[in-house]
Amino acid sequence: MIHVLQDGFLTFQNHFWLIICIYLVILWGQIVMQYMLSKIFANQFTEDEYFALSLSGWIFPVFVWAGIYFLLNILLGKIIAGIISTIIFIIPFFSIKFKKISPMIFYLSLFLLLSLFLRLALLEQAIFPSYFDSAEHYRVIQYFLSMYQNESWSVNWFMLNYNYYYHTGYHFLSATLIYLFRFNEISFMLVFGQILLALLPISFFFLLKQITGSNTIAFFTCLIAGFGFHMPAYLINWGKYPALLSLVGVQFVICLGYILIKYSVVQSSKSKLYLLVCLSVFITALIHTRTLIIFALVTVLFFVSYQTKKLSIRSQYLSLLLLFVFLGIEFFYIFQSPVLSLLLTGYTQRDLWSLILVLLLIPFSIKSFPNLTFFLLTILCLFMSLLFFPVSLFDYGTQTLLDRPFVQILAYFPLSIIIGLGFASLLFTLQQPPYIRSLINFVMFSFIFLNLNFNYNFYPSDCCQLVSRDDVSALSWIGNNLPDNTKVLIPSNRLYVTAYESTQTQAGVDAGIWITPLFGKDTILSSTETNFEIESVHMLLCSKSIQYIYIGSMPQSFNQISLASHPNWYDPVFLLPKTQVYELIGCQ
Amino acid sequence: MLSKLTSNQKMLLGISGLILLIGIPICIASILLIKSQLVPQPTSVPILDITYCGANPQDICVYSFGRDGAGDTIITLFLPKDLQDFYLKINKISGEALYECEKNKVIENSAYCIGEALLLGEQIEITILSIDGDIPIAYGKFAVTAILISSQNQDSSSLPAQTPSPVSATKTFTLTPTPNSSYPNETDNTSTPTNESDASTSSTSYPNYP
Repeated sequence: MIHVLQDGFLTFQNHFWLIICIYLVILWGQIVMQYMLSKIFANQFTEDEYFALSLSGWIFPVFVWAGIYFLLNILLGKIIAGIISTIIFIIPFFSIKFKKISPMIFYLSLFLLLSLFLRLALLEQAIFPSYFDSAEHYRVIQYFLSMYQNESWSVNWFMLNYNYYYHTGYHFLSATLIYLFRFNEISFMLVFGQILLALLPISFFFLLKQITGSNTIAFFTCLIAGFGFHMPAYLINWGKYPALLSLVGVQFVICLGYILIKYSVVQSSKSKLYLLVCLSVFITALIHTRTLIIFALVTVLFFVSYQTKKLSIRSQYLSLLLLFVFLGIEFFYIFQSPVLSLLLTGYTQRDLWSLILVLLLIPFSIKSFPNLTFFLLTILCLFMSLLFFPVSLFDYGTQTLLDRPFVQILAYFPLSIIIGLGFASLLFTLQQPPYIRSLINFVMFSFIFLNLNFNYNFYPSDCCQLVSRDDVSALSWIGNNLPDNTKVLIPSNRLYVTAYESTQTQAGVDAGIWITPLFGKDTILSSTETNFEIESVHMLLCSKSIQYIYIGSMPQSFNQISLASHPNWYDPVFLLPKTQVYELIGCQ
Repeated sequence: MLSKLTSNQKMLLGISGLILLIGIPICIASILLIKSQLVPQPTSVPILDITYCGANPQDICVYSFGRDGAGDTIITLFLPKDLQDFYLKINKISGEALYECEKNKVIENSAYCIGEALLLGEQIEITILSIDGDIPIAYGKFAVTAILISSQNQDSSSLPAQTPSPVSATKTFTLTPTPNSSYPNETDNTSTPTNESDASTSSTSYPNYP
């Protein structure tokens, strides 16, 4: 773990100003959110609860601020928009009162700082944001940036160029911050993602503190949520940055939902609370529309579990038993599906120790928190059930309400809370002798430390880093040397996430997918198994006016030998050990 | 007269102010003029040692050798942050060659340089010099033991396991243009299946997001 911290510290030095600026924005969001929460809840929460809850909801004030800047930019121009936005940004900092902070806030801040350095270690090995999603996120961010830079922006321009909805919230927020602070887009995507990961566990502190009343349990659950499972950190390998940002929103809204149920708020503040909830749901949905399904599920399940509470004890245990049976059936069918089985294998292969902990602590969790545990398990059950039912949505073709990657990302949430509740129950159950409690605390916290040291991976997975250093040079050469109207052939494979996709749906498999977003040159996807040795293939490429062929550093890229074996058809123009660019020649 | 002048404090102050008002700009202008005429001297900052890149490079290093269509050699470099624009001077047995370098605008710590072809087995000395002032930045000796093999293996061993499909004599493939988006979008899919007569062309796909 020491070398991880060293790498993290090095990255911190290399991206110092970027990190500081992002943290300033987050701090601003936290200050504004804390102010809003204090107006609603007054003295109902402790200092550390306010700290955790306000830090969980930082994105919402920031989002509103970005929206104000955008509107002012259109209506009043860049300069006035910049001045007003700067004033709005500076004012909350004057409200900071320096006073003695509570020990818990100190520990949480220390945890967040440590978490940041650990997360930043990834950037020592990450050259580009991972996987094919990232290229599209970059492209859409560039689109929003061009809106800021385009002096003659108009609604018509917007309608002509924004031809499909795709995680608008994430791209809009990223573009605004990049534009305001003049960040490098690639560095921003990488660093912002790691900062989000570092801060994400903080909402678990608030939730578990509210449920259990224990700082220890709350802090432990923070650690488990942060470092107990491969998710949500693993989604960085998939380039699912909007999903990551949406988790911030989802967790905050769930915290607010819990408060709504638990506390009777003063009537005058109720409207403010409802407004905050609605705004948060709206913004989270803008970031990732699938979160609406999560909110709907959680709301429905709340009422279901509320009704279950009224049942007799026997009926409640029967419901729980049925739930376990249903979960078992789901696991069976998920395991049978080649597409969906990754959900289970992802957790069993990477998080076996944590899953064992879940299994060991579930009985205790059920014992002390039966309704909540039932709620969490049912949530998990429903998430998985939505993998099986296809729906046809507008122009998006056949989808499922939740897809396997999203369920895999979300699953850590109920599992982490179950561990926290089980831990709390264990401590309540084994109160005597006192040294037993200390022993249990020691074992549980040691588990996290051991998991961190021996099991947890802070670095990018080999699976999904499509861009190597040779690719960077090749991409740069393409950008500098090839004309704008160049067409480049890049390898692709069938998109295969829900098993309902058409066979025509293709996804890029190497660094070639970055050619279009970075340089605006056209790329044509072709199967990785394209046999370039066949004359008809060569003729087809000629007929399609394809000029260059890109072979990236991924094993599933095109077969270079098949191109190299026909020098009269394919001329090597840029060759590096892991990346090659060939020019198509010999077209009649 | 001088005593009269010095006895009048107000006049004294006024003269001092005038001298300062005129003198300071003259001094500043002189300094700037002299500075611009000075030939930049080689700094005493030690020249960096350039070697092959390791697993996690931090300092300037050579990542790989390759070649372009004209047969020229391509050298890719890892750069520390904020390195000034530079070029390579390569000394070899047959003489000296200058390589033009392009920094990657998207990733700041990467560059490639293209120049005269190098031969396998050649002993070369690479000097990195700044474009502005030809100041040496780094120096290293290399033996070109391999071209098209990088200094380290990374990311190539494990991969999402693909079930290989049987290679047939002729294969259908789909060309899917992505003018606006590299993300597969069914509505923008204008794929044109070509060789309709082929039968077994669907390969076993491995699920995405491994």
